Amino acid sequence: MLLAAACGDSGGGGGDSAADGSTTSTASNDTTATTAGSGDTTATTAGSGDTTVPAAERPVVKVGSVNSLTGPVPFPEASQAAAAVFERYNNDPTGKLTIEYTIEDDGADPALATQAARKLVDDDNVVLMAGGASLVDCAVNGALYDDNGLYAIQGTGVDISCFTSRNIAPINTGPYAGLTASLFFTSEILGHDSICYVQFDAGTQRQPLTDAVQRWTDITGKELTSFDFYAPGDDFTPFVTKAIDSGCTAVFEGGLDATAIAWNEAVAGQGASFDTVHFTSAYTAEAAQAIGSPATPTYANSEFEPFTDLESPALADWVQLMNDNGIPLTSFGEGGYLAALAAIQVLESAGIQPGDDTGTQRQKVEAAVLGMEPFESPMLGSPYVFGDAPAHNPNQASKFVQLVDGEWTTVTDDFIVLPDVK
Amino acid sequence: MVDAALSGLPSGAAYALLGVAVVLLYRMAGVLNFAIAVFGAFGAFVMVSLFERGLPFGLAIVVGVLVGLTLSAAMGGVMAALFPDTDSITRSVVTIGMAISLFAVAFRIFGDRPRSFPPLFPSVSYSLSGVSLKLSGLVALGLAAALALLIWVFLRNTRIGVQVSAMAARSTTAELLGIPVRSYTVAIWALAGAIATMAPILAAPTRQADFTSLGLLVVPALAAALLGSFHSLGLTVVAGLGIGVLEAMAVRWPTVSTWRTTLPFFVILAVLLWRQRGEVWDEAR
Repeated sequence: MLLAAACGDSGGGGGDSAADGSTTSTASNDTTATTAGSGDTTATTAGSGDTTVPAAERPVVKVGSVNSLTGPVPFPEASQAAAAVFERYNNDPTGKLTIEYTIEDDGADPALATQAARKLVDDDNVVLMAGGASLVDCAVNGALYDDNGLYAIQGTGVDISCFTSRNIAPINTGPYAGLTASLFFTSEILGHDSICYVQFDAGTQRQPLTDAVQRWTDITGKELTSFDFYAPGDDFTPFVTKAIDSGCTAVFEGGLDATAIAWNEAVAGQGASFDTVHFTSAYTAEAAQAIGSPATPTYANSEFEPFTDLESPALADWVQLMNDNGIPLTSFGEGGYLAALAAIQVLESAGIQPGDDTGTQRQKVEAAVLGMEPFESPMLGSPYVFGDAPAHNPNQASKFVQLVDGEWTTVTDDFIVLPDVK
Repeated sequence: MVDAALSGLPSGAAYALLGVAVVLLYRMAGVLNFAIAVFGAFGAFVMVSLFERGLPFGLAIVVGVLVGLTLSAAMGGVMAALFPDTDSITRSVVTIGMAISLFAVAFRIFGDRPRSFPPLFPSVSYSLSGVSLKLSGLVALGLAAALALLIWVFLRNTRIGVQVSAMAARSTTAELLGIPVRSYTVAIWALAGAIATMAPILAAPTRQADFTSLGLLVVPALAAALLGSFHSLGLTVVAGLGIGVLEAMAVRWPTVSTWRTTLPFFVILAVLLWRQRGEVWDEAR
């Protein structure tokens, strides 16, 4: 692992302070299967015994997720991937449970998110939330889940509440640790001293993104040359010319794959020469195909083992499962897949028995979540564990990919791991 | 700062084109069309959807423009049939309803995820004061100016143009005189729809282009039209460019940059207040 040691306090969720800011390379990409899904084709999990439970005798466990399947920034793949994992598990004769997975759409609307969560909690009696990806679920429903003793293993955590709640722990690195890691990659790996940052303005994310930038400053001692927000529909040309005039040798652009395409068009139009680094949301096959050969060196953050490295043994099971179910290969799909596997590990260790009512199941699941063994996967740079901390951002690792001739290529052999976050 | 200003010309050209469509409809059909950019966005999204499904780019553009034109013409026909003798305020309010309905329909059809629009002229640009002006932006600018000039000439110097002007002034009288008011109305709406579709097609490649954002381009267009007094096409074009330049320059000022998207509203407010400056309060009410 490539460790990014902090020189001082780290913001955006808190973290340890390390002494010297040096980086250390250690062995990476352990491909030995430590959990289900990492190269295996059967959904065996840690804690599963040798006893096969007939399907009819398996206790039924209800799991749910609230997702932004529609709306301004949809994330459909995470819950689709989780559903595929649970379905395969249910068909696995070695499984111990029958998992009923319910996916609700909030359309990125807080009111609809509340309704969706109420349905899952009160009507569907779910005992665990897993694999969800939503713009508003954590902020709107975190308290509801907590009041009902529910915990959430988010497939994709987006807003700050996903990373500052006692009962929510996203499996992805998230935009904030991802931003810090991306800036670290830009300054320390690519070697840029003058970095501009252009970010899609989602309003409530301004402060946590600013905190994430500060964390990078604390780690590296460096500061951004400029930091701008753009509104929906803004033309990128003025931001590109500003970056050129500011002398930036690299720009971090924080939007989606479509914005990455438009950004590249604006960069090409102005004849800029700076490197561009994007969030993981730009790391899609569609963006690669549309951009082709980018105007300038273009990189993207990968929160998990880069999904475009299809030869990687770490991805074998995930790729096959996604292809079998017609789910696009994206980072969000990786998150949903891993969240579901972690959920299966937790549920199997909870000791749920046939006949346990919802309240009993929720209590058992809570104990299992809080005392869970770290969930490890070669697709993850950090072991995933919930624990009883007041906030969770367990995945502090990222890899990076570069777009070359229409294909994303992994450029960091090691995961970049930020200091531990308490 | 010159290059900052010039970087706003592509956006300004789009505002100018939409402003021309707004003024065209206001002058000729007596309606302030709040839905004009939505018609254009509809056509643009049909274009990009067809292109993504393999239709050749040029053909997709033609189909997209036809969709925007047809949608606008259809709405114009509805307006002419159901609201022939109503005042302009009522007809303008109807267009707000059109816009809201179309936003909902578009959400169902296209979703609200930003789409990537291929550039019309991918590799051609010209350098001015250190800023590269893409051919698509220059085409939009030229198109807006050319349309403004052509429409001005058409209205003054052609028989049909005179009839259209008469229709705009006294639609009932014009109809009694045998002028095909309804046909001319639909044709004007169709032309406005075609113009409005070209605006996002030319402007979208370098911006985060979701349907709502493209549909709301009507706001700076209205500001430009207001500066042209909803009458002068030439002033509207200049004003549209000016608003684009102002937005681009605002990116360089951190304090103002945060409020950049509200600039058209401030322009509208400033113009309205300026025009009321000589009014006595009681008389103005």
